[in-house]
Amino acid sequence: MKNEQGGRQKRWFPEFMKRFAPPGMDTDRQVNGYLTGLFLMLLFSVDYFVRYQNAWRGLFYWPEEGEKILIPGVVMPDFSELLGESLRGFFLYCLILLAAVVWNYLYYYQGSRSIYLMKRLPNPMERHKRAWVLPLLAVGVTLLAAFVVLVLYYEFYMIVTPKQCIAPGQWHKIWR
Amino acid sequence: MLEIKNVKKIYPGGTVALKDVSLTIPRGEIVGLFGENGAGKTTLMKSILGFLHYKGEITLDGEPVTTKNIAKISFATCEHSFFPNLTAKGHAEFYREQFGSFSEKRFEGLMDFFELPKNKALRSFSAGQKNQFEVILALSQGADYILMDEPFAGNDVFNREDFYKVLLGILEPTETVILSTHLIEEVSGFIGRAVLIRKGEIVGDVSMEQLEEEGRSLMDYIKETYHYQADRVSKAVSLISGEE
Repeated sequence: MKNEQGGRQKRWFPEFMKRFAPPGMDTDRQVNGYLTGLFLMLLFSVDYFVRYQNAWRGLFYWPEEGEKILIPGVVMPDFSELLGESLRGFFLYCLILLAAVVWNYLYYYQGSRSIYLMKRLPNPMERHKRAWVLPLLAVGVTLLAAFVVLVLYYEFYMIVTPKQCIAPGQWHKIWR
Repeated sequence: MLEIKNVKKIYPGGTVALKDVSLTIPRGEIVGLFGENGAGKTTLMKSILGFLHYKGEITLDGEPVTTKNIAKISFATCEHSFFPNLTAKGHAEFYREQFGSFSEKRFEGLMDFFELPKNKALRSFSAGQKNQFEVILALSQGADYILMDEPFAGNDVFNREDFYKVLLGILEPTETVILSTHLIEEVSGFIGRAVLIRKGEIVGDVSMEQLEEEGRSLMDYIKETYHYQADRVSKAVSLISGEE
């Protein structure tokens, strides 16, 4: 079965979503690219665990034999400090996604002047809808993913770190 | 009725593309718009469509051209206004969605007549097929005014011949066509009126009926109006070759 671009049908991308993309744009490829980017940002954020592990090891005295011993009075560095720049990739990615809006507008000048058709549609918002909706949706999903990652990393910090080593007000310190 | 009153267009940089153009085109006319390259034909069409800012007034059935009545105009251009990555079928769906008066019957009929593939992306069409499809879309939109800007550039003579015949056969009496082309002799049997534009000015406006009564051909009329110098070629050849 062929899709509207004349290529092979990919079933997983909802057909109705194509109404929010420039006509004929290969949305399946776009989504694949988007998901790959999101995955890379997720990988980039994993350096949090490297910093966490180093800090966590510093909480203990490690005898050559026997179990590790928690150093009395030691305090774990704040979560926000360990988080560092781990989520910055998501925000940079959002900026790249907004650049897709420009790409969507330029689409109508590629290979033809379909801009002439878009400019004479009875619904003047159609061109803008097809330029903005999907990139904004992608930005929304990216920000949501960043928040989910933040919550997961925070929960990991709170669960794995010995209670007595956690300074109070960790969640609030993130937003300072 | 399409009314163009005192339209002036000056491009940034000072190039005057249209100088006080006035033209009235009633419904049902097939008008040929002729002029040399850069005469202002395309600028005039783009002004009608509202793509360009201009001075003056353009009205469609008494109303300025806005998003409310823009669907009454369709446009076929040699630059092509289709989506290269979309199939013909995809285009039909898009037009159906955007233009309430899209004629499925006409679209299907013309697609079949020209034997164009429906499930192939437009980018894979030949140059001639792309032109045909561009015109098919303009004719199927359900518009009252069909603007065509050199739509057959690159088509072979058989293709063009077919198109004129089909056009004459399918157009409703209320449909208006404004056709800009250099193929003067070819379209002379198809149009009802010829408008000549030169350096941004309307320099000739004549009905084919009038030309017929006067026993003149369209080509003669255009040459006269343009003050064509028949001996300019021989003069140029003499000058270049150095012969007397």
